[in-house]
Amino acid sequence: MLLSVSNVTKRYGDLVALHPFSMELECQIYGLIGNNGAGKSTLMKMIVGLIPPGKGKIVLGDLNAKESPEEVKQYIGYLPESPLLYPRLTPEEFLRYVAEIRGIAAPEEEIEQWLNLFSLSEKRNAFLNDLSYGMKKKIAISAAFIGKPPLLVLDEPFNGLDVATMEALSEMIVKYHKDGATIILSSHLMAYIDRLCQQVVILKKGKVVAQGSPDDLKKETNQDTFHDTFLYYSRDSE
Amino acid sequence: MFKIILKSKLRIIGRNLTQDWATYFILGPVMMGVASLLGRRIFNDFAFGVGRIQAVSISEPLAVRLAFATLALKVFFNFLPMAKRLYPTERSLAIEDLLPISVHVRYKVFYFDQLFRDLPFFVAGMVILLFFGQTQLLVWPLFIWAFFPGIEIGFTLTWVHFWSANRKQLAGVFGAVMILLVVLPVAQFSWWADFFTILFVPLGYYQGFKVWRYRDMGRFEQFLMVHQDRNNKIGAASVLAQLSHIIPKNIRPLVLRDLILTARNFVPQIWRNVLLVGLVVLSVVNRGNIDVAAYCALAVFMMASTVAPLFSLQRPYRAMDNALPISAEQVWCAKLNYARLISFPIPFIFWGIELFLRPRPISEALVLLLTLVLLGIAVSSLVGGSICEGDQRPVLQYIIAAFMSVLATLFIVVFNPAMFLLLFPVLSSLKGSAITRLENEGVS
Repeated sequence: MLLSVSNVTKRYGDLVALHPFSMELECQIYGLIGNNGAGKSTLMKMIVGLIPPGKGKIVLGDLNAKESPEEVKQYIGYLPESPLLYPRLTPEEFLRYVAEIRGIAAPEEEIEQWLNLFSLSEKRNAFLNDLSYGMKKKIAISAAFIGKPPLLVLDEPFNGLDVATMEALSEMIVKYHKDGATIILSSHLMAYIDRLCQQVVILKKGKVVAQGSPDDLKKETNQDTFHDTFLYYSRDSE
Repeated sequence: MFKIILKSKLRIIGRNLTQDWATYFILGPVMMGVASLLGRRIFNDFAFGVGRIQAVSISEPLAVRLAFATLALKVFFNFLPMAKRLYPTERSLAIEDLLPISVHVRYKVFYFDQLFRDLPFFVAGMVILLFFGQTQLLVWPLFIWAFFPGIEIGFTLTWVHFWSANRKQLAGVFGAVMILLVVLPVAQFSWWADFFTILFVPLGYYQGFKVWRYRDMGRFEQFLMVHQDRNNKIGAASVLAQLSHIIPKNIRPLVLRDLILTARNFVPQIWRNVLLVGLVVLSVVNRGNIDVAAYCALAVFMMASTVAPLFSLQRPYRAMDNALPISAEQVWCAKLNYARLISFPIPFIFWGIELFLRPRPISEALVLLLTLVLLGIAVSSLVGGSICEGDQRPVLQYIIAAFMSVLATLFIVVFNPAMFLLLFPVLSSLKGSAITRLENEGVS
């Protein structure tokens, strides 16, 4: 499913959260990176239909996100920065709830798969507010992936996860991409961005300071690691 | 899809009720019943017999005017909290905002959610009608409750769309509404109620929820940022820092933090309480035979009761306090002093107004001042001191504190100001209970 973002901007009064931004992607893993307050989450929220773009157009398939924000959500799995979970539901109940809303007739197998992947089978009957932050994050990730939406927007998916889970999640991202999904992810862990993303965009104060594949950007800046490349652009654009 | 969401919501509500069933189904009703029956008995029979407090009676037209004024105030004070829930901002984002749910279903869910939130308000309205013997009006709170969420949702979305989320202009409009409620004949009220229901319920759904809610989202978020920035610039923190020097040193940082949070709208109920206190102060002008001390006690209770939502809202952050070298006694003392401090000027305001309106000899004036100050300290101490008694549910704490405040008023005003001394053993008992509860909370 083609996602097209054309000249999208967002202002909050005098504050420009995002300067004109464009991209077009289909079946890619796309990294949105930048320091805190760079505009990554704002762009993600506009893509998933939570806030309307100030100017410009966001089109997913043949749906305009501004005109049909509710319909667009049918094709998007979104992981917000902080997990949004009902404290008095169990992981299983919560995932079933999300699956039912997504219209999945028999979600048991998929739920089981996610609970096993994140080693949460033993916690299936615990209330979500009794789980640790990392466990809650795992449930929120599962909720974003459930139903295999063609576009996944993951805001800081690796935050709060243990190393083994980060590895399992990155394998899952690659698998979903191979199955045809488009994935947009933001992270401060540059090693994962380097490993997973085919294209990245570096944002600074709402402006694009660099764009391209991680390898190209490394070559361009003559840096050995993508971590250093990111630091180079952060410093360079001061 | 509505059924799926409703099923989950009901399951969550059911679990909340099951966990706290004793509070909701035994302690709450018992306390409400006792406060209502005993309060009625005190005001209508006992205190009237002693001769200082007049029996309270209310006519049907006055009940209708008061009911409409209360509903208007509810819309006004619920405006910003409602807007914050309606627009999916960073703080109010829910899982439903991320899922493909039609606007129609989202509206129904929001309506249902608001119905549930409004329920205690309308139940309290029914209890008050029962208290004043207006049983013929009992059906109205139920009827209004069914439509009220639609009016609130519609009004909030319409106002934000055409004006702003700023409550300054809104305060002007509601000020005018209050005057109209006094001036207009009661017979017209029903017509106006129908008019606003027919206007706001469909408008709120077809245009407000379907179109404006999404389109105005950026504007609303911008308002919140500007509003917060302005609040922080007011510099209340430095003023409060000076004020807090009168607080014992060992609890000063805690009280100062609570005062700064209050000034920065952490407890939205503060403004409602300030307005209610203002209304009580104004009503002293025409107080009839009811003792000014009764008004003073009511106003102090309203202001000091801000401590209950503050304490409840701080619950998620209490782990921070537990990690610091702060004892449970300090936490309790801080809340006690907070309640005393924010209501401290009230007795002096009442004394000033009373003397201005009804001058009296200096000796009588000084006795009145002493009575009001002692009453103010007693009521605010009982409200602050009972902070852990409501199981951290503000409504339950209001009931417990109200019951003790009625008794304190009765003892100090009707019997003798020296009865103030009874406050000390009561506070000592409340402190012991609070320390146990807070320590248990820290452990669990």
